[in-house]
Amino acid sequence: MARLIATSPFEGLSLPLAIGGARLSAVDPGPAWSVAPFRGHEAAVSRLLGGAMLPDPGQVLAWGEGRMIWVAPGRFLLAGRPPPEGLSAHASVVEQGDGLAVAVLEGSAAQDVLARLRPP
Amino acid sequence: MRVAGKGLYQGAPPVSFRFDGVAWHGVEGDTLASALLGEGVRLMGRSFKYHRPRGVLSAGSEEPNALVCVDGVPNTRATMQEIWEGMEATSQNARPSLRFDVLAVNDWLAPFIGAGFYYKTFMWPRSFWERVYEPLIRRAAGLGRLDPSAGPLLCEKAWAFCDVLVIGAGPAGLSAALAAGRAGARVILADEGARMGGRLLAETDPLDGQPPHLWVERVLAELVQMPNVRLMPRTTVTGVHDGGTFAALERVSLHRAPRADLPRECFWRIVARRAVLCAGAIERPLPFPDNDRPGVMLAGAVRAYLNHWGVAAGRRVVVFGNNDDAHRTARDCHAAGLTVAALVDSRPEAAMPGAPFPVLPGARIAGTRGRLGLSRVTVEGPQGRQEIEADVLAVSGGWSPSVHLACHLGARPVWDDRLQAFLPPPGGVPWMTVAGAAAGEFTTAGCLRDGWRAASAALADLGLRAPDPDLPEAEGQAPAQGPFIVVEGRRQFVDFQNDVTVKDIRLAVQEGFCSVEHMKRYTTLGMATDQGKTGNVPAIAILSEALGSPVAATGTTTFRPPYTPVSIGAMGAGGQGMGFAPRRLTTSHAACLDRGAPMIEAGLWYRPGYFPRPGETTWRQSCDREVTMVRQAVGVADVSTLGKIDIQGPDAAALLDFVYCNTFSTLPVGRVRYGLMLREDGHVMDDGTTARLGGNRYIMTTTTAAAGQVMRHLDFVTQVLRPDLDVHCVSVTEQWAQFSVAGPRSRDLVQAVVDADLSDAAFPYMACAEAPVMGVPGRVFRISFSGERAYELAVPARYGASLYRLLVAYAESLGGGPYGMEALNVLRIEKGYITHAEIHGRTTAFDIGMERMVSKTKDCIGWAASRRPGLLEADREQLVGLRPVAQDGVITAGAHLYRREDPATRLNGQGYVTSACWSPTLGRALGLGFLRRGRERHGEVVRLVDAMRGVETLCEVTDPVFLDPKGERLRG
Repeated sequence: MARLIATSPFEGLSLPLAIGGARLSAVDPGPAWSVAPFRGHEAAVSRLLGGAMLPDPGQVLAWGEGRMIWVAPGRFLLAGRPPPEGLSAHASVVEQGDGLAVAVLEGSAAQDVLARLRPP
Repeated sequence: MRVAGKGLYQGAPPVSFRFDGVAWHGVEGDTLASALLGEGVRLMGRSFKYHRPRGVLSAGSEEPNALVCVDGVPNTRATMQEIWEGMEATSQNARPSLRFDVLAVNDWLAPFIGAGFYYKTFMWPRSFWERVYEPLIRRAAGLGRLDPSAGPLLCEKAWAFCDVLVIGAGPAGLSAALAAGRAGARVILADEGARMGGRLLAETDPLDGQPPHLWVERVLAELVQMPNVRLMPRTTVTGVHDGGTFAALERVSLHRAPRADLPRECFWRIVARRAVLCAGAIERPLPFPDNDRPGVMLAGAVRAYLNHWGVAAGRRVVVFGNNDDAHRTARDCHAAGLTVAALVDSRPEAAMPGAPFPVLPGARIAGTRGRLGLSRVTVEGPQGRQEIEADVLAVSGGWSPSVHLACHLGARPVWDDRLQAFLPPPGGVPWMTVAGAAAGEFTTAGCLRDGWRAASAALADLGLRAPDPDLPEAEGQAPAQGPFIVVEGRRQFVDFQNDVTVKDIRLAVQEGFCSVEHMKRYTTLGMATDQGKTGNVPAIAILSEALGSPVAATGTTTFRPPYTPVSIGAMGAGGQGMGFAPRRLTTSHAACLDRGAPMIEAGLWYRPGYFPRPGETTWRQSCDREVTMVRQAVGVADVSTLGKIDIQGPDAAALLDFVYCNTFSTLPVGRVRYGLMLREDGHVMDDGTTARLGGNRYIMTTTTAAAGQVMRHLDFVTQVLRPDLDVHCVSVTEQWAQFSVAGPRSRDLVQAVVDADLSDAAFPYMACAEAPVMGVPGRVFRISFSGERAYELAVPARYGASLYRLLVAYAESLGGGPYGMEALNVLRIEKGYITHAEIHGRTTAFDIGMERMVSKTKDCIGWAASRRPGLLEADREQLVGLRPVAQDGVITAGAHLYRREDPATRLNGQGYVTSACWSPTLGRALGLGFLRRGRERHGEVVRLVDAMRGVETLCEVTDPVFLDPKGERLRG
């Protein structure tokens, strides 16, 4: 049966790109969901995540082979693993992975390249 | 001339360059100024107003005279420009040449063109102001000239972060950086010079018994090895801004021949937790008659040229000062083999026991000779008057600490009578301390200690331990400073770059411009590109004396960034062409380009205007065809750009009821509703649709350009207005690629790709569902912006490119195809659907005929304000449709409406047109607009007048819905 073909956000951009001491490669970020517990349901969310602590501002916590990344007050990004069954009863669970593009920048010049991109 | 055995560049590779077309030679490490002095060239410029011959005054960025044009960049200071092989430099402000300048006649007219003369001249006749005087003055003003044919300077921007920013790499700065570096802090050491070391490179006083530059080299060698220290030479920190942010300009490649792969400058934003300002001090000249000839230089600069670059401006030196520091120049020049003809000190008590040259205490320079270059000075003293031959006159009126950066946040410096200097205000910049000469410490030993102390304090603030001081032995004799003097006479220059004299300052006081801010603007003192670095403090002293008040009472003018000029190209680096704004591209972008669709910018998104087919030569042909195609078959359009906001939570319905004026809590699962959002003032903010996908799960759409604003609005509502609501709003605009499939054959198409029952019974108009689309989880919405049967399909964005091409291929097999923004706009105008052209911010629900949508049984944002009588007046301009009476009548958006018999004047205005199009469906132009009492006037003929485009058309006022008013085509 006919299917749709998935394309990367970097389609047509000729990655990996290596210039001087910097190398940029595309990475498939895998699935990602925005999770925001409803009021009073934080404990239930934590329980469904296997007792994991929810991340504080600026924190990135491991969750199995996935990660929980704090993104906003009362909200974190669950990346690399699908959310557990029943989570949407206790939290706003919104798929976000297709809106993300992730690339890896490495090499001796990586910091200098970033210095010219980082917003003030 | 080059002085044998002196300077840090002996044996350096030679460099040839040209100045005003003449070839000269220097060595690597020379600045243009040092190289020209080395070749015996003293004449480097002509002054701004009087076109007096000028030479280099200083050895740093405070240079007011030697401004040249290098590689097309005007007003480059010769003291900062390093020479490179083949460099072309030209002088400024002289025609036909530096040696013979026609406008030197201005110097003869000096008595008539003093400060502010233009306020008293150029008055009559009035008709000459704009036609004659202004163009003439504009031509005559300014120093350098921009080359309009030159391409933009290639520059870049960058950001850096550190614990401690040390500004200036002289003794205090090197000491501070060493302390902070050894403590393990992340350090940035920035210096505006090509070579770090500051005054240590210019003086001979030993450090640990050795020439000072050796200590500098040792310290730099240690710092460069530290991974936590970043050295930034050729980098001027230009400004202090909020939040610990500093602006800095790095001269990346201005000191070498241009290369295509190197930017000329880099504009840095450095965010530092703490900073230490070690900017040193700037020497001030003394005002005496004719104190501006080529060869008159600052005493410290003479030492710098001699000791750092190994050059001298001449063979016979006279030194004139009011302090002990000037004595070092006489001593160094004599030791280097130059003839010191006299050391003239204004202080009667001055002495230099055992000096091998004449010392004249209590004396002053009364005049100079030598128009194109100093040849003689006149000295007046207790022994009477004498003429002394000299080609260099080294002058010192004392040193002014460079407090500028410490005052950038608005604090004023503090006058210290004992030091005869303005000192930085304590706490002027809370995260920055000042050390060294910039803080009034004028001995080398003191600067070294002060730098270490300041760094230690910063380290303590950061919770780091300062290392034990490791400082070399250095001289610690504070130079005695005498009072500032003015030698009376004429042509005593204070601001060299703007040609402001002592007489001008006194004239300002005479005319009543007594405050320092008024004196500055009346005389233009301190307003040139050097911002008065050498002239401001002497001017304040002269002003104070003329007012009879102490210097502390006079104060300074406001210090503002940038410290030295910054090219606009550096600040705006990367902002040209494609770099100006981010481009947001949909998943169908490549497919649109493949079909030759011209792209239109909507917000930051790029959307196709129309899809030209072979044989079509105008946009109208394509647009007309696409409109007909949608009305008769099926069209596919990418609508991913509309904002999509996911709303979930127990109070989701309550939130929607609060932000929309109509009711959403009654919306069943699986249905979509059109909603109108009001502002607090009762006017319409945005319109859109919201779909209920599940119990407490909604998805809201907004207008493309308003997406960010609506998201911010929802954030504000949930965080500030209604924090009691348990609901979360998340933007999913980029998550879903969404396509509209519209036309009578649209169901045939979507049924082929959607795995769900889409019969009218199961899926009526305004239904929605989550359903697989070609095997991937998707969503279907039966909504329409064209007035035809239509569906919108959403899939995760990674499948967007693939789905779009498939949909277009299927559409073509059904006699349809892709359609663009032009056709989309025509389709919606034919149906009277509004966009932000109609809800432009000054219209209400009442105006657009949707007053009944504002629920009377619940509150919402803007409800109360929308009920104000003024917003409900019958006389208001109401949404109407417009059809030209003549079949070929033209309607333009922006045209105004008048009663048929009224002249088209402002007072007769009855309304205006907001949207217009040619309708291929109805075979005539159509318009939407607003007309007073419009809803009562259907059938009336009004006059449309577009004065700008010369259009005048008689139009019939109609209902805005021109097509299928019952919506039968929508519902199928």
